[in-house]
Parts: sequence; C-alpha cells; structure tokens
Amino acid sequence: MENVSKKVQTNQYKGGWITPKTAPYIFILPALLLFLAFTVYPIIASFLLSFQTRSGGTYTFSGFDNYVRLFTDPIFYKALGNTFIILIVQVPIMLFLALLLAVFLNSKLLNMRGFYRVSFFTPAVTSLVAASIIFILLLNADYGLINYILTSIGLEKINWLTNGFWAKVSLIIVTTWRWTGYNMVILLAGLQNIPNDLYEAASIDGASPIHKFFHITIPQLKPVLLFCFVLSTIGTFQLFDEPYNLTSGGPNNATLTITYYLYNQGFNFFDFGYASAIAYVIVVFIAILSWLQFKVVKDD
Amino acid sequence: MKSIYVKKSLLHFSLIVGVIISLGPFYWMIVGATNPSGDVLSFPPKIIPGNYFIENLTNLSEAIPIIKALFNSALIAIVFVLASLLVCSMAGYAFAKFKFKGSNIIFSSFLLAMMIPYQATIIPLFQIFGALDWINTYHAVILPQICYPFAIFLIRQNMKGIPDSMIEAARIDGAGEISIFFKLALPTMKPALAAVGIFLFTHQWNNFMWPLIVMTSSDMYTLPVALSTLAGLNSVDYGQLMLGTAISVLPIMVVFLMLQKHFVSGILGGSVKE
Amino acid sequence: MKKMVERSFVAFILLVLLAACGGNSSSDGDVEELTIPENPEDVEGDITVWAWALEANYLEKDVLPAFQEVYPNVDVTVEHIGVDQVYQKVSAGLSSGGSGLPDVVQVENNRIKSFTSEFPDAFTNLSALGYDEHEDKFANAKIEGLKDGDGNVIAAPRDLGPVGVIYRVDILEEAGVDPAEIETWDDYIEAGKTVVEQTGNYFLGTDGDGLLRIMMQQQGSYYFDEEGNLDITSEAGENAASILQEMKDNNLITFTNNWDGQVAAMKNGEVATNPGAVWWSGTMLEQMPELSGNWDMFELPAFEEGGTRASNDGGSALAIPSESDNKVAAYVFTEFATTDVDSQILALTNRGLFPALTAAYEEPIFSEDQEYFNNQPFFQKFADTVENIPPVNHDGAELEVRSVMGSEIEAFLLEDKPAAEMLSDGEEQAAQQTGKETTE
Repeated sequence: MENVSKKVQTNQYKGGWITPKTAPYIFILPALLLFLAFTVYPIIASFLLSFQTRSGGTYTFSGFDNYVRLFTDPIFYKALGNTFIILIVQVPIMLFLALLLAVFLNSKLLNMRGFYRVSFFTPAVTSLVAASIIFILLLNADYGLINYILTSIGLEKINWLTNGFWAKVSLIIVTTWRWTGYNMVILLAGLQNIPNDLYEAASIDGASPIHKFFHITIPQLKPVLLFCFVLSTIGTFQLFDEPYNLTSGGPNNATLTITYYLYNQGFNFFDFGYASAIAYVIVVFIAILSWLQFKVVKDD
Repeated sequence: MKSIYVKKSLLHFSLIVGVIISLGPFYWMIVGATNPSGDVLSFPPKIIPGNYFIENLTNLSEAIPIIKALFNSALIAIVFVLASLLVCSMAGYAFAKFKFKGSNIIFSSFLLAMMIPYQATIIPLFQIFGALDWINTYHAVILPQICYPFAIFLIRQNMKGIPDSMIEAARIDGAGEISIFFKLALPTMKPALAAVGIFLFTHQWNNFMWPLIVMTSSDMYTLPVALSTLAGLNSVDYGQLMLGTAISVLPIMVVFLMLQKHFVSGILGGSVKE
Repeated sequence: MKKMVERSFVAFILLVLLAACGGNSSSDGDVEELTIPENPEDVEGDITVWAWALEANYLEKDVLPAFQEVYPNVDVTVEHIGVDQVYQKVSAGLSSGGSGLPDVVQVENNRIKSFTSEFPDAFTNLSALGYDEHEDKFANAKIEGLKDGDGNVIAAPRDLGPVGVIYRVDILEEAGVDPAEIETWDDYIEAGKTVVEQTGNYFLGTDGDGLLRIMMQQQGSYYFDEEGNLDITSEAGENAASILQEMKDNNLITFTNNWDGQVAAMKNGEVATNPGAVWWSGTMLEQMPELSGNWDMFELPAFEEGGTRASNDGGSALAIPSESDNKVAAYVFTEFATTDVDSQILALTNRGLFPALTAAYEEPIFSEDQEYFNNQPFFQKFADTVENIPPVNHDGAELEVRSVMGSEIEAFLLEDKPAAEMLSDGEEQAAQQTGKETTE
C-alpha cells in the first residue's frame, strides 16, 4: 500500500499540471482528436459537398439544388417509404421478440442460460457478407431449403426474392434474425437492473406474473426500451448491408432503402453531392424520430 | 410442483424453437461447407454434412490467401479493440466523473455522429488517408473508428456507477488523476470492458466497405473482403464460399463464448450499484 | 484549457490542409512525354492489375507466362477482385484524386464513359502511347465505344459479346421447329408458341433490361442518341417493346431474377432459348456439362425481313489510370494482353471470352466443330455477325438509365405494366434522375 502511494506521489510531481480541473480534458483528448480528424472533418467535407453538383469532372456550388432535386425524386420517396415500412413493421416485431426472449431468459426457472444467450446473440456477431450468402441459398425459389419445407408440407413455393412483397418480407425476416439477439442482450441487462424487492413486494400483494410484467417490468425497463428503439431507428435508416447483399434493392426497387439509394448515387453514379444531400436528410429524420421517441416516453 | 414442471418445459420448448431458428442457418452453412458446390444447389437440398471438407479447403486456399486474411483480420481487430477500449474508456470516464466546460456539447456531438450514414463520409475519409499516404496500411483500417461513440456511451453509463466518494478518498490519499483512472476506475469496469470489447470486436471483424476501399492489395485483405472476391460475375463455388464463411464466423463465436459471462452485466453497469 | 482547444483546432486545420493539398498535388501528368522502348527488355518495373472472375484468370494464367517471356523485367501482380468491388474501389480512388489505384484496371465497355464523363483525366490516352496502330484490328462497334470526344483510345478492347439466339436443339426438334426458318422476331414468337405448347415451360428468360438493350442496339439505336440525349421511346424502343409485350402475352418469357436464376433456368430446361451473348458458352460448358450436344445457336431474329441480325451485350476493356507510376510497363502489358493473338485464343478456349481482335477469327478454333455445341462451328457463327454489330453510344449516364430500366422491366414482367408504358415511364424517370434532355 505504501509503495503504491509513493509511486503515485512521484507521478503527481512529474505531471503537476494534471489536476482534477485539467484531467477530464486530458482523458478526452485522444478521443476528441481522433473524432475531429476521422469523423468531423469527413462530415464537414460531405456536408459542403451536398451543396455542390458535379459536371464534367468539377464540383460547382449550386446552393440547395441537390435538396430540391431530392424532394422531386420519385425513387427517393420510394426508398423513404420502404424504410418507413421496415421501421413500422420490423422494429416492433423485433423488439417484442427480444423482450419476450429476455424475460424468458431472466426467469428463475431456467437453467442453461449461457447456452441460450450465446445461441440468440450469435447471428448478431456474424458478418452480413456471410449471413446473406446463407440466406440467398435458403430463400432460393427453386432449390432453397425453405421452399422445400413449404412444398413438403403441401404449400406453394414462394418467390422470396423476386416478388416485391415477399422480398420485403425476406428483408424483414433476415434483419429480425440478425438483430433480435442483440436487442435481447441489452434488454436482459436492463431486466437484471430492476431491483428484486419490487417483485417480492408485488408477490406479497398477490400480483399475477402478467400484472407484474405490465406494472413493474415495463415501467422499469422504459429507459432501456427507449434506448433500443433509438438504436433500431438509427439502424433502420442506415440499413444497407442486408438489402445490398440479399436483393440488391430489387425487384423494382421494392427493397431499396434510403441508405442504399445514397450508396447508389455515390458509388455507382459518382454523384457524391447528391449522395451527401441524402445523408443529411437521413440525419434529420433520425434526429426528429429520436426526439419524438424521447418525448413520448417522457410524457407518459 | 407439477405446474412448475409444465411451465419449465414450455419455457424450454419455446426457447429451443428460437435456438433452431437462430442457429439453423449456421448448421446449414456447415452442411454447405462439407459438400461439393453442385450439391448445395440440388433439390431436394442436402441437410446432412458431407465429406468434401478437405477438397473445399484446398480450393478455398487456392482461390484466396485465407490464412493471411485470417491473420490480417485478427491483427486489426485485436489492436483496434485494445486501442479503442483505452481511448473510449478514458473519454467515458471523463464524461461520467467530471464536470467540465464543453462536456455536454462534445458528448452530444459524439452521439449525433452516430446518425450519419458512413457511406457519405467514405470519400473524404479516403482523401485524408490518400493525403497521408496511408492507403493499404493496417492503421488505415484501425484508426478511423477508435473513437467509437457507442462504446463511449456504454462505458460512461457504467462509470457513473463508481461512487464519487471512492475517487475523492483516493485523491485525499494523494493519488494522481491518471493513476486513479488506471488503478481504481478501470479495474471495476471489467464486465463493461468485456461487453464493449465484444461490440468493438464484432464491428471490426465484420467491417467490410472501408477495408475493401482502403486495402488495395490482396495480401492486406481482411476476411470479409477476401470472401467477397469469391463472388464475381460468373458462377460461384458455393462449397468453398460456405467454408470461407464458416471460417469467418468461428473465431468470433469463440471470442463471444470466452467473454459472454461478463457480457450482460457489463452492458448497462448491472454489477455496480450507485 | 483554452490552449487545449486551440491546439486541437490547429491539429484539425492541419489535417484539412493536408487533405486538400493531397487532392491538388495529383492533377499533374498532362505534359509528361512517354516513349515505349524498342527493346522489350528495357521495360522494367512492377505493375498491379485489377480484374475480376474470368478476365482475372485470363490475365494471370494465360497472358502472364507468355508476356514474361517477352518482357522479363516487368513484374505483374494480378489482383482478383469482385466486379462490384473493382468499381467501388476505382470510384473511391478517382473521387479522391487517384490515390490507391492500380496500373491497369478492367472496365466494362458500358462503364468507361461513366468514368470519363465524371473524371475526364481518369485514364491514360493510349493513342498517344501508340495504340493507334492497332485500331483497325478490332471490331468497329467495340473500338468506337472506347474513344473519348477527341477520338483518342482510352481503353484497350478485350472481349466482345456478339449476340445470337442460343437454343436447345433437342427441345426445338421435338416441337418440330426448324431454327433455320426463324428469321424475324415474329417467326421467333410463332416458334415460341409451338414450343411452349409442347413443353409447358417457357421459351426464354431474362433477368434484367439486357434483352431490351440488345434489341435496341440491333436496330442501331440505344438508350441515348449520338448527342447523349435520352432516346428510350424511339421507334426502335417501341419496336422492341411491342415484341416483348407479345412474348409476355403469350407466356413465352419468364423473369429469372438474377444470374444464378438464369443459369438454373437454362440448366433445368425451363427455357428452350436464350437470346444472349457468346460468353454464355463458358458458363454452359462449366455448369451444364450434361447438356453437351444439345445446344446450338442461330442468328438474332431481325425486326423485318432482311434486317440486321447482330447485336452486342457486354464485354470489357483494359484501362491505365492516369496516376499509374509505371505507364510504360502498364502499356506494354495492356498492349500484349489485347493484341497477342495466341492469348486471345487461350481466353476463348480456357475462359469462353470472345476476342474483339478480329485477326483471331482466322484461327482454327473458330472453324472447328464444337462437340458441345451440336458439332457446329459455334464460334464462327458468332464471329460472322461481328462486322454487322451497329456501334451505339454508351453514354456516361448509362448506369443510371440501366438501373431505371431494370426496375421498369421488373414492373413490366412482374407487375403487368404495359411495355409501352414501361418505356415512357422509364424515359421520364431517367430524365429526372440524370437531368438529361430527351430526343424530340
């Protein structure tokens, strides 16, 4: 013990300017420098780019042209619509499943929790390049395992990836498959933070498990649920890997998400000005939705 | 007694169904990796692992430098996780345990940055690395995301659980700020660091677009990039692709298995009471 | 604390400046004078080549050994990269002033203009290095598409995709259809009805807008006119659309979704014909060996009797990015890979890549009967159509328009949108997307 404090003293002597006042800045400095260089600078550069259009190899300032173009672009609206459909359908399904699994895994009746936890989280740690290869084959209309199962129980084959409706369904299935475990783990952490005495008190009052779920679990979990909702909103607006690898945005743009559209404009058509404009519209949407979600939770 | 037994079985039953859905595709990946490509596409599909593993492995290692890619991925991911854990926990500590001017602004801009799709910033980022002549280097993949807002956020949540009185006591004992962080704050963070480490490792291991663009020679490719070169314009050898996929998934499962004990408690600071 | 802020601000500004300078320093290279040494052994250095799939195999395994006998002091590394990935990397590289680009890169014909219209100095002018002398060795339709506005060759032609109708000999025979009598698209549709009635399957499949483009180019027309205006609702477009509509109304055509789907449809006999490019042969040999002897080709049906029976689909070229440090070595490699006849033949026999170099058509492989292809001189039949392929304008906006038309084709085949509407909607949307004028 004495040894330690001696060392500490010499440290303090050497770095006499590290006081509780300056310390936070020193702690934050590396992160801040990296942030400025590799996040802020690219963001500023692309933000400036969003006010420029390119022709014949040079960018010229063109005010809000890119943004105006955006609001008259039917494919942009289609991509936005697809994104919202996923947000409205997929996110609630996924979070409901995640909550259900988390509650199950938190049950005292259960053994082998580690096994279940690992099993459900595994899809989230898989690269999408890998997962999509698997799913493209599983969902293949002619020789995929899923259609094989459907036909062997007497159902019709489904054109999972070639029909506009089913392609969206496929995208939702794969996204849910991949991210449910991720959210489950966060919710599980939240569940374990709920003080046990709340449940015990309720049990003494004779509350049913369902009553406990709605009157203790949900209210106590609200901040964590909100956190999951915000993360999923960001994730949905940035959904790219899944449609890119699974359906290439087709058929007829049925699975084109907004970030995919951004990517196409930039990397396929070299219009990084327009692509940047899309990026900032996405940011505005995420910011508004996150704010709304906070608002809803607060008012409640 | 009986009702508990029934409940328990029901619970297990529904969870097992979930496990089948979530792990089924991986089983099928193993089937694909041990069968020749043609069989992967046969109807009815194969559902039992075959004995074509060695052939697929030979084909795979001829097609892409799989060992080198594995090495690159591991090196990049490990250095990245260590560097990022250090940088992010320092920042998280500052946000959680100090009141200082600008703290709110900096913290919110970190979080705001999470909302911007990375595709939009790739080109300016590439320009920076081009100007520094750092294209096709390991640090080009490692550096940009060391400051990882989500990690800072999680660590900040956990750090909040360290009682202020403990830090004050250390100060009165004459401990410097730096040593308080390393000897007092950090050691209580082990579960959190494990959890955040998993997120960071996963992120970097699966990182695709940026390494694809910034790595220009095949001896620098990471696994996902190397795998993507297997799928060209023409026919794909699915057996070898599935095997490559399996090789890319296994290490991350091992890492997760090793750290998963701390994982849940580490996410939101479950172990530390205020 | 103020200092801290100041310092980080300075560091930040430095970085910005660094990045900006980096961008500027790379726009030289206009005035450099390059000569190709007379003696091959005087060419030295290392070069890197980016290519994908078959072409990458060709360059590495077929070209490289022969090349190195002539140019022993050039060290070539061929990087195999997926097609999408090549473009992602090239666009990132060009967008940031040329960082990280290779010395030679494979580019598809229809992509070359989309690079050069956005980045005029992207690729080295090959004519200035002496490629002029090879110009008339290539199919006209090919080389014309690889020139810039001033008539300079900016990419060296590699393979070509002459189009014919690849068909199943056994299926057509069983249905009593004589392919020699199919001369027009109307004949083709009549034959299709007979076959479909017999087999209960389809006559052809498509996975995108390829067939529409083939039919438009066949008529010497394309998505763009010569000035680069959108010309989708042209007469040629309408002719093609009405044929497509008729195919659909008679249930002759199916949507195969993607490459794998198209391959599967051919392999499983779901389609009896495939109006497609010669490079299908490589895939067929590899993926459908069991159908040996059952495939053959007849020339593309004309729109009217005596009309053109040739078109093109795909094909790529080799370009040298302007930022290459070793243009001389890059040039000799490009020149060798595109003009050496023996290599072109290896590309055809080993990879199924059909050369644009017409001198190669004199080689025996062309006149030889191919066992797989019904014991017919399969490649000769395609080679015969090459001189009739009409050159068309692959505009810089081709990709955007193709992406629009690909979606429109899907709407037509999957959602029953009338073909004529598909053209007009497509043109309108393409105009909106690209800001281009439409031809009056």
